[in-house]
Amino acid sequence: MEPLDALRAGEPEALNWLVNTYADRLLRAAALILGDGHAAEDAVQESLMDAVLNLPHFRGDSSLYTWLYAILVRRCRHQQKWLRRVRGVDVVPKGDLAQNPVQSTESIALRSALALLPQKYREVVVLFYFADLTIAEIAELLRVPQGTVKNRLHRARARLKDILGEDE
Amino acid sequence: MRWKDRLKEEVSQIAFAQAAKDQLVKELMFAVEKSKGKRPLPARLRDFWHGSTEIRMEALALGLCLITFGLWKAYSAIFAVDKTSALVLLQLGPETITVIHQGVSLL
Repeated sequence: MEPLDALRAGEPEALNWLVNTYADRLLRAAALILGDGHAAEDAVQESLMDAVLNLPHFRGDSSLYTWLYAILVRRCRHQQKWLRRVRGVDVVPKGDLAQNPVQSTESIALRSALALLPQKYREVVVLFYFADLTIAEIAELLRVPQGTVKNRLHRARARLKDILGEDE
Repeated sequence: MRWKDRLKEEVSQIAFAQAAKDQLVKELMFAVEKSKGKRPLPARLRDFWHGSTEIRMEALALGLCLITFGLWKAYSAIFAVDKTSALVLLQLGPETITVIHQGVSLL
């Protein structure tokens, strides 16, 4: 049986494979986008749930990996909106993405710099540099032209360079 | 080291605990099972009630307004006063009144 068919059938082994292969990668991306470990965990769990329940609608035009990231980005946006509504203020990621008590000044600065980027820039930076997706894949999953992705990436890099005082 | 390499190295520590992954697999299996067959309405209502579905306040208020409006349209007739019947009752009224001479009346 094909992996996708096994997933659609809800076979434990296939679901195990899905979670063990993608959950951590998705969690890292969500943590960087949201800047909050707990919110990132929620986003990943809900994304995987959405993915599994919507597998019958997955046409296979893109890879499963790209499709999962598309769902994750939508979930992160939803999470951000929800946090904004609950807290009543615009949520700026705090950058406390790892449960690592020992944080160097450099790493805090790095996270803060990423957190200072507007969400649309942060998304492309995370998808391009950390999820290793191509410009074409990012454009497809964000449903924007490739030029827009390149432009956002360029602006994000420029801003990071300004904040961190270094190139890339 | 460039910023992306530093951040990549740092985020590599972020991962789900194995117990959380196992729990997630169980939840996914349950969700798939649930989605396979159409469950009876009471079971689905119970799931909804015990679930964590989020409903926006605006949508909830709109829904309640629509339900109230629908109920009012359907049952408002029972509150309507038929003038003819009312007049007849008013005319008959004094004859049917029983005068109470004893006890305490609160006005």
